Amino acid sequence: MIQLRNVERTYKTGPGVTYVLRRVNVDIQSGEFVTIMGPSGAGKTTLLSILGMLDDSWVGEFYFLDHAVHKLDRKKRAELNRQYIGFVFQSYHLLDNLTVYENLDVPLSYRNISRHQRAAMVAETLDRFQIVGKKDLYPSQLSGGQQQLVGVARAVVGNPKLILADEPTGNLHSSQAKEIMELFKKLNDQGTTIIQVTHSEVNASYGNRTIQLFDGWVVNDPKAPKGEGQTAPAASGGNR
Amino acid sequence: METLLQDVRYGLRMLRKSPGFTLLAVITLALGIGANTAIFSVVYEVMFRPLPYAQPDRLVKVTLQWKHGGIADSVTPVLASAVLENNRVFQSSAMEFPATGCNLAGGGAPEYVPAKRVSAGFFGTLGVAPALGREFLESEAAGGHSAVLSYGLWQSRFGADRNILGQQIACNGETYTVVGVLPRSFRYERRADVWLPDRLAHHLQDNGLNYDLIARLRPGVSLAQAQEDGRRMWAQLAREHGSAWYVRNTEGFNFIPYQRWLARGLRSSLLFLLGAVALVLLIAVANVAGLMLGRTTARAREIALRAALGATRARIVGQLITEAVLLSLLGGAAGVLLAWYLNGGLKAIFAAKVALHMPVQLDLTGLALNGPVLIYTVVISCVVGILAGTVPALHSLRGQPNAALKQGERSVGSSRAQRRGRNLLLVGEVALSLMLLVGCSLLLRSFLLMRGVDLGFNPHNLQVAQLSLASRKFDNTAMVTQFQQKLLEKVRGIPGVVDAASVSSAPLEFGLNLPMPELPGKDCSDNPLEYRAVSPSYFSTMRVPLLRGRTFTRTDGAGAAPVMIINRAMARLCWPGKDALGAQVWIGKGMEKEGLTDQPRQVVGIVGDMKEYSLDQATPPMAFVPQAQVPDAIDGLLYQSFGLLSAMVIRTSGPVDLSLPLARAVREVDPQQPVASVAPMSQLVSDSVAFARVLAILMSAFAGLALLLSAVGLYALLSYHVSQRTQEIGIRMALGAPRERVLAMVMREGIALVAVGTAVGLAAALGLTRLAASLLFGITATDAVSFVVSVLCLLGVALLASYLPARRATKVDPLVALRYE
Repeated sequence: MIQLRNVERTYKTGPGVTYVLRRVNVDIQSGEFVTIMGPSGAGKTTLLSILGMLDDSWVGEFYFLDHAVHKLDRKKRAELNRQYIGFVFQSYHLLDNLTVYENLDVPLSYRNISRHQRAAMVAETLDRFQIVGKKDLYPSQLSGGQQQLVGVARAVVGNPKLILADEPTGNLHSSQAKEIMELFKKLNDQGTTIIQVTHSEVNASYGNRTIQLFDGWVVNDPKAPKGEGQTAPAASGGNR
Repeated sequence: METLLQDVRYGLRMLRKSPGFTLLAVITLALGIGANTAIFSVVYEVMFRPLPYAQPDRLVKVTLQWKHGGIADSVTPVLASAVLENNRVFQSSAMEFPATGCNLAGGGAPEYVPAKRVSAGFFGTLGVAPALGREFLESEAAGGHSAVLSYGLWQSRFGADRNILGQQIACNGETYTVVGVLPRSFRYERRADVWLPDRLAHHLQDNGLNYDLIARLRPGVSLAQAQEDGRRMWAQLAREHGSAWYVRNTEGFNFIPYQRWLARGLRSSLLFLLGAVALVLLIAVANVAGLMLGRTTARAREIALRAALGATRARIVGQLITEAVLLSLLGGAAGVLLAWYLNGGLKAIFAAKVALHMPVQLDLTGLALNGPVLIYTVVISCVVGILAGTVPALHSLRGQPNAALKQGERSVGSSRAQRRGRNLLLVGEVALSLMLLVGCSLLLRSFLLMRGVDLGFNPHNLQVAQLSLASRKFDNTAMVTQFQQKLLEKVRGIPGVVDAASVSSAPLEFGLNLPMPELPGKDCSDNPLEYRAVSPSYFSTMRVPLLRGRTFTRTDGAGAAPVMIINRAMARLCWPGKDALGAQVWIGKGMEKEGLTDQPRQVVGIVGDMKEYSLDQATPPMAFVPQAQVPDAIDGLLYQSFGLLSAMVIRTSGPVDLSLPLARAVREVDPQQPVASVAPMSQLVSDSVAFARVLAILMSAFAGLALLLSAVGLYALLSYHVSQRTQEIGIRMALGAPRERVLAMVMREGIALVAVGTAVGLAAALGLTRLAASLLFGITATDAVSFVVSVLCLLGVALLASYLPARRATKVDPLVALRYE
C-alpha cells in the first residue's frame, strides 16, 4: 500500500537546514497495524503528515496504492487524502461549534457525495460506534473518551483504507485509552490499515509492527525493505 | 479624582505599550472626528456665528407665506408701507429697493460696480456705524443725491482719501455727494460698492414683490409677539386690499429671524452633510470598538486578575472607558489637524464657486477652527470615546475571572458573546456605509442629471457680456436700440466672432417678469410671464430651435406691426391643444396705472424652451419682444428701475478671450460705458450648479471614507476570526477540505455579515433618504438605480475585503492540527 524511498524532510533554520527525516525507506502492506515510536523530535508526526498528504515539502519517492505521490501536485494529493485516508488526532480536534452528527458529516461534505448518501453514512457510523444518542450534542458536552470516540468515528465515516492516528490516547485515562485501542484493533481486523504514532508500549502492542525513529532516521523496522539501507547507526545518530 | 488620574496614567501606559493598535485607532477616529469638525465649522459659520451687526438676534426678515407653501422673500410697496406705518413691535426698519448697478465715471476709466438703493436709517437698523461720515437722512431719501461708499471702493478707486466726504461721484451719468464710507467689516447679502438713498413713496405704483424689508424688534418684544402683530396687520390689509393678487395668494406675514433666513438655502444641505459625517464617525466608532473588543479579549487575564484583586465592576468599566476616551481625545487632536487641512480645501471651494450664490454675510472664505468649533470637537471626542469604550467594557464583565486565570487567554478568546458583539458592530458599520453610499449615489446622480439637462440652447463657444444701461440716457427704447445695434455691429467684426445678439437679461440671470395677460388657457393667468427684449438674431445666435412661424427680422422695427415670439411652455400652457401662432397678446392690458402697458402683439413664432432660472427648474412661459418695439415704460423698468444687466450673447468659432476686444468695441461706441462682465456661457452654467457639485463631491468623499473604514473593519474582523480559527481551518484541511472550500467558508462568513448589514442599511436608507428629497433633481429619494449601484459597490468592496483574509486562511498549514498541544 505504501512505499517510501529515500524520503527526506528539512526545515530552513537561518542560513542552514535542519533534517527532520533522513533517507526514510518504509514499505507498509494493506491490513497492517503499524506503530511509529521514538523520542520527541524524532520526526514521527512529520512522517505521519507526509503519509497523510498534509506535507508537501519533502523529497524522495512515495508510492501510495499505485499512485506515485511524489509526481502528483498538491490538488491530486489532497484528492488521495479525501478518498483513502482518515485522521485521528491526539486532542480529538472536533469542531466546537458543530454537533457530533455535523462533525461526522464534515469530511464527507468535502467529497462529491450526495446529502442523502452522506446522511446514510453518518447514521451507519453513529450506529456502529453506538453514539446515536449523542448525535445532537456538542463536543463540550462529551467526556474526553467520548470525544475521541467521535474522533475515530469521524476518521472512519468515509470508509478509508488507511487510518493515521497521532497519539490517539494521549489525553485519555487508561480505561478510555484501552477502549479506543480495542476499537482500532477491531477496525484493523476488519481490513483497515492503521498507522499510529505513540509513546505508549501498551498501545504499540495492539499493532503488529513497530518502526523506531530517532533524529529523523529509521533506526529499527522489522520489515525494512531489502537492499534499502537504513544506514543510521543504531541508536546513535552520530554520523550526521 | 485620584482614581481618574490613576486610570489616565495607566491608560496612557497601555496605549504606549501597543503602538500599532493606538495608531490604527487614532487614525480611524481622526478621520471621523476631522471630517465632523470641518463640516461643523461650516455649519457654525452659516447657522450659528453671530452676524456682524449689533444684536443680530433682534433682526427679522419680513416675508410672506404663500398659500401653496413656501415663502416670498420680498414684499410689495403697499405691504412694506403697511408694516412700517402700523406695526407696534419694530424699533426700526431697513428697506432695500430693487437692485441697480452703477456705471462710475470720472477719476479713472469707467467702471461698473454693484450698487444698492436703501431707505434712510438702513445701516442704523442693521446696527452698523459708517467708518467715515454718516448714513442717509430722511431728507436725502426723499430725492437727495448722496452716496455711501464701501470700504473696498473707497480704497481702490479713491485711494482711501480721508477727505472723500463731500466729494462728488458720477454714477449712471448723475452726480452724487459722498456722505459716508462703510467699515471694512461691513457685509450684506450681495456685494455693493455704492449705496444710494431711496424711499417707498417713489414706488407705490409697483405691485411686484421686489422690496426687501428687515426690521429690528423693539427691546422686550419676542418673535411670537411680533408674529401676532403681523397677523393683526394682515387682517387689516386683507380688508383694504383683499383683491390684490399678493393678498389673494398669500396667508400673511412671516417674520423670520434674519440669520435663519440668510441660511435658508444652505440649511438642509448642511444638515444633510452633518448627518453624513456623523454616520462616518459612527462607522469609525464601530471600528475602534471592534478593535478594542479584540484587545479586551487579549487582556482577559489582566481584567480577571484585577477583579480577583478586588476591583469593582464599575472600576474596571471606568478604566476601559478612560482608555477609550484618551484614545478618542488623541483622535480628536489629530482630527483637528485634519480639519484644519480640510478647511483649506473647503475655503477654496466656497471662495471659487459657491460663494457666488451665498449671502455675503455668510463669509465661508473665513472658515476657522474657532473656540466653539473646538469645543464641539472636544465634546464629540469624549462622546465617541464613551461609545467606543462601552461595548468592550461591558463585554469584559461577562467572563468568569477564575476561568480566565486558570486557562489563560485562549479559552476566553473565542467566546460567542464577543464574537456576536464584533459581528453586530460590523453589521452596523455596513448598514451605515450603505446609507452613506445611497445618499452619495442619489446626489451624484442628481448632479449628473442636472449637468446633462437639455439647456434648450448650445452653450459651447458662446460668451455672455453684461452691461448696465442704468444711465439716464438709456431711459428710452430708441437710445437702447441704437446703442445695441452699433455695438453688435462692432462685436461682429471682432476676429473669431460668428454672430452676436442682445437680450434684456441672459439665461440663468435675473430677468423681468410681468403679470400674465388674459389668455384662453385655464392655468395660464396664475403664472407670471417672463419678458425678454431681444435683437433679431438672438435665437440663431443661441441656437434655439424655431418650432413654428418665424424669428424676428430687422423689419420688426419701431414702426412695424407689433410682434412677439413665445416659447413652447407658454404655447402649451396658454393655448392647450390649439395653435398659438397668429394669436393676439396684450401685455399689461388694463395696467396703465403701473406703467406696464404695451399694445396687442401678434404671436409670429414659437421657439423651444430654454433654461431660464436654473438647471433644476422648469422653463417658465416666456415672451420675446423685438428690442426696437419695447415700450419706453417697460424699457425703463428693465434697465432703470430694476437695473437688470443687459446682455450680449456672442457666438464664436472657438475659444476666444473677448474681454479686451469687447471693452474696446464698447468704448468706441460709448466711451463712458463700462462692461460689467464677460464670461463663457458654459461657465455660467457650471456656476449655477456649483453648490450641487460641492455637495456631490463632499458626499462622495464621505461615502468613500465610510466604505474604506467599513472595508478595514470587515478585513480586521475576518482576519481576527481567521487567526482565532487557524486550528479549526487546519483540522478541516486535514480532514480533506479543499482550499477553495476554506476560501469560500471565510468569504461566506464575511458576505453573510455584509448581507445582513446591507438589508438593515437598505431599510434605513429607504426611510432616511426621504429627508434628502429636496436636494434631488430628476429622481426620487427611492431611485432604484442609486440603490442598486450602492449595493453593488458595497458588495464589491466587501468581497475584496473578505478575499484577503480568506486567502490567508487557505495558506494555513494543516500540520497545525497535528502539532496542537
